[in-house]
Amino acid sequence: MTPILEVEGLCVDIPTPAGTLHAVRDVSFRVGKGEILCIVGESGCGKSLTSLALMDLLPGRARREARRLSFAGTDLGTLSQKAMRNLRGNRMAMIFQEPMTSLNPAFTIGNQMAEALRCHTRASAAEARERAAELLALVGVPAGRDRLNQYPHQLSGGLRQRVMIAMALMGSPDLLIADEPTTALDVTIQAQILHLLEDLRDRTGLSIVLITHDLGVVAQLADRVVVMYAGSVVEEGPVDEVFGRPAHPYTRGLLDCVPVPGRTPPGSLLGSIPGVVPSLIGAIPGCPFAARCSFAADACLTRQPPLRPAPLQPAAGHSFRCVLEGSA
Amino acid sequence: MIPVTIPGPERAVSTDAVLELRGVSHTYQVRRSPFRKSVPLRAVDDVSLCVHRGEVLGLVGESGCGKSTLSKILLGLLPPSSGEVLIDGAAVSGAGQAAFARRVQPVFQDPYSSLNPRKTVAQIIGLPLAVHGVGDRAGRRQAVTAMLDCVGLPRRVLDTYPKQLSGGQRQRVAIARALIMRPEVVVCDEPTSALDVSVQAQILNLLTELRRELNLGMLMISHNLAVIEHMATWIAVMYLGRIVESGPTRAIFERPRHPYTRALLQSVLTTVPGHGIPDPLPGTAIPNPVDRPAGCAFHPRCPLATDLCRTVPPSRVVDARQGGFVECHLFPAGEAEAA
Repeated sequence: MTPILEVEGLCVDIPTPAGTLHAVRDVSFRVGKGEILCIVGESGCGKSLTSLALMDLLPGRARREARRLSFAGTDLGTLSQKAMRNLRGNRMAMIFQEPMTSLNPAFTIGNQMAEALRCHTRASAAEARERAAELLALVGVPAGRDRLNQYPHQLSGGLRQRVMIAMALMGSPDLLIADEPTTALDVTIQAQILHLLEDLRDRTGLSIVLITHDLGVVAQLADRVVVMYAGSVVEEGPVDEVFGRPAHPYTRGLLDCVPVPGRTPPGSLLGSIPGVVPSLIGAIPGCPFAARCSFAADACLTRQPPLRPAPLQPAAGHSFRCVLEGSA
Repeated sequence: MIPVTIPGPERAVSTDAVLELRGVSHTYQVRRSPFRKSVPLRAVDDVSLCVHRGEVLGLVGESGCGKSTLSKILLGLLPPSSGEVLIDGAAVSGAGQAAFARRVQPVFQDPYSSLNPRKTVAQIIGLPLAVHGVGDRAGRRQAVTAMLDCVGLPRRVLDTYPKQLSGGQRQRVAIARALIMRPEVVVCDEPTSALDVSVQAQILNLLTELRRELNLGMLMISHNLAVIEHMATWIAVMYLGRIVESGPTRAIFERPRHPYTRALLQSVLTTVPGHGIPDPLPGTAIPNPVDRPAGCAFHPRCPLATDLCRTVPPSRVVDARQGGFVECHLFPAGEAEAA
């Protein structure tokens, strides 16, 4: 699969009064055309900042560095602000977690959707409106043409998230970055939105980077998954491998925390990960998970092991970052 | 465990219902625009529920189905428009808020906004004792310290402020505050949905242990059905203000009957890969409760709806064998076993 997005050695640093906070530490991954990559991790692991860094939308003080940041052959690292603005919202689009707060309440749906296209092309207002109506139909908004004149408050949460997705698709993007797109929604609506994303990928060859903390969403939607902890990638690979044969103790611990209907005995105690995430200010000498890991040895405290192929299926592209053998 | 004796009625140890709702309804008056007459909105419609000692009642349903109104009624914060709330079989209408609050306590969803940022942990946890005038200052401090041990918080957090604590620690503070008066029922409204996965498991484990140790009754409201299946002993499924199906957790998960229950169960995403995204329900959202659909409220989204469902509301069919009931025309009385 030809990669549409290649990230190598991405770092995001935020200066704070207490020192530099290394929020994203040497993160590398690739997204193929038509691939759904999920980045999963707990709050503060750097997954959202990674997505913002890709879009060059980091908050003011944060600094981005990368050895390689290439989107469809274009080097994002050296792109001017203006060229980046042309890409963003056009060939690279993003949808955010809260459909309630990321739509402007003072403008109609049609107005906001048309703006997304008219910023980037010479489309007339009528053409933009036509495209908006088509896309609303594509994402399954009933009576889309009438909705164009409605305001965000007149739509339900599920419909607003569909509008957000339709808006992101206005420029026919090659890559869609979705940051927790279903977290604020009911489970029944979540299933509809996830279906929609899967369907769009199948029909248009869209590549999707999905940021989430919901392991269930990852297991059912992702082709490949990147597990992040304390700013670093700790495990990466095809979702069947990573969730079926997790190699890193953190991934295993995380999966044990979630009850699986029919598998976890009801009323039993769930697995949990003791301790807290280390401070991201300054360098972490060893493995960032060592303090919470029940397998930690002396070697874990002094050096961060490199990502290496998991022993069981080395050919599957499944790699992890731990000194232990993956089967432990 | 807690060196404070709480005066109050004698508590019989039994598995009888501690908290019971009988035919409870609540109607809000809503005005759609300043120029129109207000119309009634039936947020909760003829709901009967029981919370037993040592058991967990799981309440599931989509947003807007009336779960929060129901939990407010259960907490005594909202008087029902009709129907009765009973504690130990006695109606509470005359008992007063303070007496009610001794026995039923809430744990809220978001520990970032439900704790007063200007009070220390000791003040937050000890406030119910002070309000109810239990013990002196030293005795209360002692009780708070004991409670910290009970919920697994280190004693050094006593004089810290909520902002110095992590999300999981804050939720432990909220649980300690709820338990300090030794209530019989705790109402947990989405107790873990604001927390990280690894922390969520810690809090669920804590609630399970406390329930066993203290023989607590619990009402757990959640949209996460995997969590409900794990925690609850009895499940009630709510749709547009009505309980459409209820029964023992096992029965509901193994043999769901109402099409809505089935759809909810199918929408659970497990962490075992390969199942794919479940087929979604038709219809984008819960209908407007002001314009309740005629007949069965679920019929516009139901794949099995018939003409009968569009016109006649289904009546409640009690399952005599395993307890619980279902409100659906697919299960007429007498044929409940057929499913």
